[in-house]
Amino acid sequence: MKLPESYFSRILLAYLPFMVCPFDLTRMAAEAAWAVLFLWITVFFFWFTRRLFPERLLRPAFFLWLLAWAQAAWTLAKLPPFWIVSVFFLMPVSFLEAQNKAARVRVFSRLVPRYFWDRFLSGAGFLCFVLAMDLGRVFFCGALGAAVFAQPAGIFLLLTIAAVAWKNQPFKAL
Amino acid sequence: MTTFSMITVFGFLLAIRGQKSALLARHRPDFFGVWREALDRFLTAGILLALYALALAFDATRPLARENGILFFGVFGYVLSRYQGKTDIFFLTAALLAFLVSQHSADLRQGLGEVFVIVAGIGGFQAALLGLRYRLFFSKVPASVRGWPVICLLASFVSLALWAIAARVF
Repeated sequence: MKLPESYFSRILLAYLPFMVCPFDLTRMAAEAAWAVLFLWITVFFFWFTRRLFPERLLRPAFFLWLLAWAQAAWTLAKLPPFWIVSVFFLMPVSFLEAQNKAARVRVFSRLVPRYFWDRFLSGAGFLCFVLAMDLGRVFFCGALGAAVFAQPAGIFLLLTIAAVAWKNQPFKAL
Repeated sequence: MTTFSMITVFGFLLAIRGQKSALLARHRPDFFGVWREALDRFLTAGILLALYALALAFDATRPLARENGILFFGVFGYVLSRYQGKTDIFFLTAALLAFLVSQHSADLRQGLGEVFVIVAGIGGFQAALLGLRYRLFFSKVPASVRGWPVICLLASFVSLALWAIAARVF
């Protein structure tokens, strides 16, 4: 089975804010793990509470939720707020659009585990992607001494390699 | 490094999310639109910084604004962006930009100068990437690298060129 292009798009766009602060590997992994954990909390929270918000207030509530947590993370751990952009790109933000109404889904429907499984995979895939990119950067920059990989230009080159690998996956769509 | 990274990252995000590829296939990239957006971004971030400076000027509001900087820039940024009918990514970039500049600029004038440099850089990056991407529509790009691979490669070249220019200028 071939993994869809949209999945890669979301992960790539969510990774970009991590290029702004060149942390060490441990710090970057911790920040990515926090972003993923927060993504799962947000998905869970809005899945159950979406119907409680009036349509007009859903979007402000979502951004206020992001900002409040970004403020808390900054106050407690001095975590720069770029991770909220990652969460924004990983979230299925189409639910904020007014024309997308919440459908009634039975609790034991097969849609529920599939929905949460998709979001779980997005988060886990993103975490692996961030770690792989940073390991690649450390390898090229540290071991091979290619200084360009300490710059966004080098990281975009790594992203190019990742995109080529993703686009030409060995397993073809059935 | 952070300033240059912000230019590259935000420029890339706005170039990808600000334009629809289907439109690019039919029309020339809207360079005027890119620079108008850049001006809007500068004005929005500038107003946010001015409001923050105003809040810091009064004893009653100073601790509140200083301790809740992200909320301050986020809420006012959201209101300003909605008023202008801008996208979510515009709001996020303007608010983050204003917040980060406020963290290491001594006064409003220096902050506005930093915002101007970053926003001009973002506009330059966007214009270069969109122009190269448009020219690529007329080239025979192999199917195996079409889409994200070639966009990332272009972004890498643009970033490298901007880095060289920035090293000479600053």
